[in-house]
Amino acid sequence: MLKYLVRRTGLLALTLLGISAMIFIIVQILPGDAADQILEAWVESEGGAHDILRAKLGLDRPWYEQYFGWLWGILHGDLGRSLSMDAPIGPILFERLGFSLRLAIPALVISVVLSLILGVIAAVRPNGVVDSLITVVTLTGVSVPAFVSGSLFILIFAAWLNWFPSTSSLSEGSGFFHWAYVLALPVAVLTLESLAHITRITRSSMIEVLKTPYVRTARLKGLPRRLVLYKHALRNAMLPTLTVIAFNIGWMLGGVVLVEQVFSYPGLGSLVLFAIEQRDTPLLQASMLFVAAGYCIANALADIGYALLDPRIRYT
Amino acid sequence: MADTTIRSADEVEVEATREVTPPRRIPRSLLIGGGIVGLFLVLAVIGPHITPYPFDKFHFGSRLAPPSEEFWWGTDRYGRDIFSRVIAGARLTVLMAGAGTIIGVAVGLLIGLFSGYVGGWIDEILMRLTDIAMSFPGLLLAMLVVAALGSNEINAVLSIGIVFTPKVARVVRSATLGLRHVQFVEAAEVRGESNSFIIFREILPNVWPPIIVETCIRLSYAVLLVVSLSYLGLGAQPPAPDWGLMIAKERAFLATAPWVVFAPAAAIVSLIIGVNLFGDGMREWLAARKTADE
Repeated sequence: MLKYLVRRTGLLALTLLGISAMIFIIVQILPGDAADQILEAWVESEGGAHDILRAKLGLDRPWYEQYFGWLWGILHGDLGRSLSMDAPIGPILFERLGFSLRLAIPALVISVVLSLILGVIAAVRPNGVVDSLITVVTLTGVSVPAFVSGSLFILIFAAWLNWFPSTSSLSEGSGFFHWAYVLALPVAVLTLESLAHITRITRSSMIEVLKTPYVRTARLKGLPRRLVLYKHALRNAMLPTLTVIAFNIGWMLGGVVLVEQVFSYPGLGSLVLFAIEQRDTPLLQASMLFVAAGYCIANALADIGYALLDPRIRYT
Repeated sequence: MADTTIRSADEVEVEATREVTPPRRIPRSLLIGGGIVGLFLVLAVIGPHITPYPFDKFHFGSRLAPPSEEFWWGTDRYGRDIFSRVIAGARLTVLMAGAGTIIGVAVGLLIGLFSGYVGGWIDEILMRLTDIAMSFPGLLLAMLVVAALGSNEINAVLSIGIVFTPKVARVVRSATLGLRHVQFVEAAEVRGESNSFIIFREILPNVWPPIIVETCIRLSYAVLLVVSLSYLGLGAQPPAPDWGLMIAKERAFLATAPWVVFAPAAAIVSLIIGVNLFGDGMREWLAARKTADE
């Protein structure tokens, strides 16, 4: 297990390095550099001001110095300085990350628990009434983009029923119930998105597992139905499900961008969008790296969880 | 000897499945999905010519008018007829999603075939690159590419192609690996055929089924990506009658005039459901055909 752990962590580090290079290259394609963005408003001619500012921002250095300088900074906890906000990026990112996690973690927990239950229920009687109902709901969930369901939720629960607020503006210091009240709608939208994916996979892998001889044996030797379902079958059906859960974190990160936009919520996704609109290259670079790194770490954790559940994987 | 026993066991199994699956019956989901997708294709071709009003015509007298005989699905804040806009917008969404998918599948196909057949360190490098590209959530990679190139329809299409390429390459590569050592490929190698002959004439005709299935899956994601990018303002720009853009721009009037969102939302959801059904049906049909052929 330790050997596997070391190898997987090494792979993670390499992937992160590759990602940082890719982000750097793509952002470098952006027309105009940071100095142009800052000076655009004040200075029209490409005069001395540009060169001075370039030198100050370190943009006159060759690309490899800029790239490795950036990496070096990140390794030392310095994520750079935002141009549009004129402030260090690190604190901003962590604050926004906190906001996004408050959406993503409840949504993930609720959707995983719910979809395991729904998947098992659907798999017990494939093509039955309950299964068909669950299939219809999950198929719709897969087919509705987060911003569409978000808009409809606002219409129904905020505008018509007036149960929840339509924008999730936050005031610090208010208690848990205020948070739950404000975040209910965006969390519901995110949950619906990932619920559909996980339920579909749980259902199909449960159906496969329930056909296996060892499940029949367990049933025939008189073990209680519930025990067989949740201990024998679900544990084995969890393997593909776990991958989909990790995969879903990527989906959720995309969904978070859309949901934050729908509910005007100040999370990481809206920060990325802000950086794109403001052409704030250091902020864009750092926030993209942050999101991609989060996704990779989640994937690595899922792989390790996979290895814990299934000893065969550790030895391949 | 061992070979013949295995084969006969296989045949027994094939015979058993042949009795169960009626050969070559077209699945219902393929028909329904195909019908929905076909309808949108027709709209994409003739849509802009059959709208009751030009999609960008302002009717200042009836802004945010509810659905009526005059404006079937109501009007938006400039008094533009929403029915006309949704119908005219089909072309944009279908074209963008289709073009993005074609780019992704074409490039991914070439990379996958090449990487899988040639193997060695080239394969290793290409696959590590796809690993990196796939470790971005799709929508965020698309956003990053559009940010670098600029927000418009063409760059949105390009970004979808870039997001899809590594995923398609992966699928095609694994299909190619399975054919790497089959007899007809080795026979072609012994004949001294060129790499490109073997890849395109021997391997390609045998990897179509997984490619078709993958293309259907990609197409549904492509529609999702197109409308999401335009919702975020990173795709088509106003006054284009893009469905995602319509929902984004009319968001403020959601509470007072909900029809501004209903029609484009219904269009988006029905197109995606249609593509999903079509893909599911296609997969089922190809699987049934495969067992029937064997």
